[in-house]
Amino acid sequence: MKTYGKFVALIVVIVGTLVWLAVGGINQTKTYYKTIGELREMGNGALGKRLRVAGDVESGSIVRTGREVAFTLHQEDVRLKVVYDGAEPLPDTFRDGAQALADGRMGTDGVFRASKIQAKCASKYEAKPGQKAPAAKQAGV
Amino acid sequence: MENLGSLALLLAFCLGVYAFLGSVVGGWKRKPFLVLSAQRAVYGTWFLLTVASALLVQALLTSDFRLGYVAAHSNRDMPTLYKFAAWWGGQEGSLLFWSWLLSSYSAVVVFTNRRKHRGMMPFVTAVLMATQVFFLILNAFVVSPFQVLAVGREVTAVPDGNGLNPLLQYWAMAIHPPFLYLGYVGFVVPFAFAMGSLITRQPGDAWIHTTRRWTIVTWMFQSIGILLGAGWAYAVLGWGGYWGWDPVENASLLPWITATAFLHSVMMQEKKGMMKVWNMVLVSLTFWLCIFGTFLTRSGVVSSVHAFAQSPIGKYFVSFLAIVAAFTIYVILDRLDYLKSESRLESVVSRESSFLFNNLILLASCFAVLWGTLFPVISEAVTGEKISVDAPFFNRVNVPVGLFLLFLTGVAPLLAWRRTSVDGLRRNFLWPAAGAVALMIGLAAAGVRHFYALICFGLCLFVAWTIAAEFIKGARAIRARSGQNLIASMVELTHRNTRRYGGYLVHMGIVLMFVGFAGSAFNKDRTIEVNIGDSFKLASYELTIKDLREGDNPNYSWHHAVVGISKGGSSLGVLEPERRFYKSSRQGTSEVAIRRRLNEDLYLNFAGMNDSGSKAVIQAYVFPLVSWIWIGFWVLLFGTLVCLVPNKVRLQYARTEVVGVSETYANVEN
Amino acid sequence: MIVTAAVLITLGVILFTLGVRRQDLPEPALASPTAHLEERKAAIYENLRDLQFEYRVGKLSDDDYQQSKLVLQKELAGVVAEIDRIAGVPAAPSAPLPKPASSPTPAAVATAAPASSRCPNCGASFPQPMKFCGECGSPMTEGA
Repeated sequence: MKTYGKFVALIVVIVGTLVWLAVGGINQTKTYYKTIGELREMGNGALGKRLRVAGDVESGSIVRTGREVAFTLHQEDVRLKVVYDGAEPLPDTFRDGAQALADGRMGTDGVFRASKIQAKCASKYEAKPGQKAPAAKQAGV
Repeated sequence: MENLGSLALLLAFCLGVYAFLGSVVGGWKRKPFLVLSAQRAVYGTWFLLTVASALLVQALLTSDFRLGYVAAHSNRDMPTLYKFAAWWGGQEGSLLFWSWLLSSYSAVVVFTNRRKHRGMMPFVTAVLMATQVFFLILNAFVVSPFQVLAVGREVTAVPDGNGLNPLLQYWAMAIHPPFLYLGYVGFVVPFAFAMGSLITRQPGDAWIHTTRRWTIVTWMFQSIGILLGAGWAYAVLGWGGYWGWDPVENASLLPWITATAFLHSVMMQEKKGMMKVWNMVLVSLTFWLCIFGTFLTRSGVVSSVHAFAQSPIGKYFVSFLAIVAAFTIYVILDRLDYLKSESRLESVVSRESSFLFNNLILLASCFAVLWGTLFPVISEAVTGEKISVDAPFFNRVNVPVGLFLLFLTGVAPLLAWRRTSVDGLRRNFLWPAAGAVALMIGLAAAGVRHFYALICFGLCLFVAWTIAAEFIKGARAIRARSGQNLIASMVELTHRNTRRYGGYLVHMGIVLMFVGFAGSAFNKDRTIEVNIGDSFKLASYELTIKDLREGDNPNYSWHHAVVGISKGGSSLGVLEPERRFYKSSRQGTSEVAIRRRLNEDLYLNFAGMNDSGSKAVIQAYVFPLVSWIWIGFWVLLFGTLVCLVPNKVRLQYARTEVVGVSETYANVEN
Repeated sequence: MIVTAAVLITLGVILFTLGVRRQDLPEPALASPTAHLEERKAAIYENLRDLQFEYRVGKLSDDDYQQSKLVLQKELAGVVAEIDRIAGVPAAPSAPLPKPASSPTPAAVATAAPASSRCPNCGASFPQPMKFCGECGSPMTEGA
């Protein structure tokens, strides 16, 4: 039984360490998914939190200045100004009318500072009758 | 033709149901006619799925744009290879591909075991066919690849298709899904055998012996699939990494982790008759995660914000996963007595316990990855807020886990079964440990300050040393008897126990990969807007833009940069990154240019033109040691193949006999 | 054309599946009631051989080796006895299996045993006097 005691102790130590790492990791990197409307409602509560906002890129709103890219996301009638200044290049799918996910923080000036952008473009045949919605995600990326 | 395809799928579904019911009833009531008829239905299912797949591939190759699937995933100007690859390029086709692979595996299993395992085989077939039926339901009724485009009631064709996602138009990506699926689907077989053996309470571990090769081959396919995916991400996506902890990547990693744990702990059962319940759990979990991975890849439950409700196949997968979980849990619990362990753990410092910890760590890491991947779904269910975690979370958990596993990789094979004395530890680990510490001190003195990287390099040396020592010591022992030279002795040694020494080679591959992973601690990058004639510096490289060109072809239009590279004044040639814009899908891609060297890669990405179109945006990265990941992969692949070579038959058991005082002691003549 | 193909495929598959004749049934396999024990026996032999090899290579201390060997041998004897029992062979008239407590510990043997139990060639020691070394096979005649 003494051997089993040792095993249990070791297992507890290992699992405990992992849980500690995981909890720390979650608190450090957790990102809230919000719609633009929800973000507006949060007001000052949104400051300082890591956020992910989804919306469509408004046509003609993309403006590049140096390394910064400014654009407007909209969902129905709610709009949000976004400035992207991340290191990675914008995805190829990011363009007018694309559905985009912006990760970042809300600035005090009401402009969303994104550090990462994901985008998905609408498929040509999406709206064709007689066909189901296209695959949400392409093959095993 | 699409009618014939739909008919084939429908018939395959009926046959699948028949094979399932026939096997269960035939196996239960012991009706050999019914069992054989069900086995033939398995071949029939394969035939019908082959017909359906052939029809779909033909439609893709001949650009039959009346089919919605063809229109969405192919176009006229695509090279033939990618037209073929469009078979698994989209949801409907890839599910058909899954089905077809499964039916091929089932047919092979039924054929090779047609005279063996009489009691268990009907249930093995039943499990295989239950899975098959599930996928056939999706193929035939939910996401049929043979749906035609229609306006009102008229079938119409579009003039040209969308084309395969250009990001997928890359050789590694064309073959990445098949390999991953070969791995995913392959794990159905060990699971089916495990369940068959459990249901019929077979004495002994016949299912393990029968599925040993399957498991290794499947694991190999999974590894190839994952690494191809990483290689593709590195060479195509242009963000300069090979692993982003994307949900879909995680989905492929999860079953690989549990499969790895299973490959290790199954040795405990073979050798010592221990951990039987655990192995059942692992093989079931792996199967479950394979289905789950397919679900995650296909349904987009995590990747987009509220995709869950939109996905037409989500609820089918969830139901099937729930049924599988309930069934396996019930069967395992119901037959716990049959899974009793034959020996028990004796010491913390033993091979057994190292296996136990290896399993614990792998499972913990698997759980952490799963948790992180599903965190948005879980948090939405619990708190109503959708919260996601990012790459730093995965790294924070998995880097220490990986290092601990690396440590075990070095230690475990040298620990004795049952228990290891301090003397034994000293014999095996003194020099490797001293070497590792010396290396770490040396690197720290040379200015390497990254904590994990230091540990990683030290452990890599430690493990490599212990593995090399295993080979050399073993080869010496053989040389002492046979008089062959050391290399021949090593081959002989490996040939005598291919699984063990092949396994060491796999470990060596992992070590090399870790060297590559550790290199990422020293990555450098720079993004710059340039014009012809501009030059800039990165690390020790000087880069000069020699030319910027643009052009056009039927499939895509492109921008092309010619960048001259020099280091310390001497020229190292040119790199030519390219930017493409695919016309039919209206999507751009990067063709990155990489100068691959053993010490570091120089990686250039043409990110695009700036707004005015006057300057090119170039991203330059330096990735130290990254090539070792791919080298490690080849070593891993070679080691896995070695594992598959049958052992050289040594003095067989005929010559071994029990001598001594009758049964009191048994000696082995060797 | 398509209709013909559809009919042919359907009929062919149904005939193939249902047309099982008596001569198609495979021969019933010979099932050995001891097959799983034979497997177990083979596994233990394998373990013993591995153990021996690891010892020869120098990975194991003498102490660890002797103890593990003893355990494996006992396990093997148990399996062999079980096979005999199932096969209907009356248990060999022999001394009962030694209880773990009563078996001499190798440490005690190493110190108390006469020189004859230590192989002059490879240095392996054995709990009982032997004519030939169990490790390397060379004669151990000095002490006898």
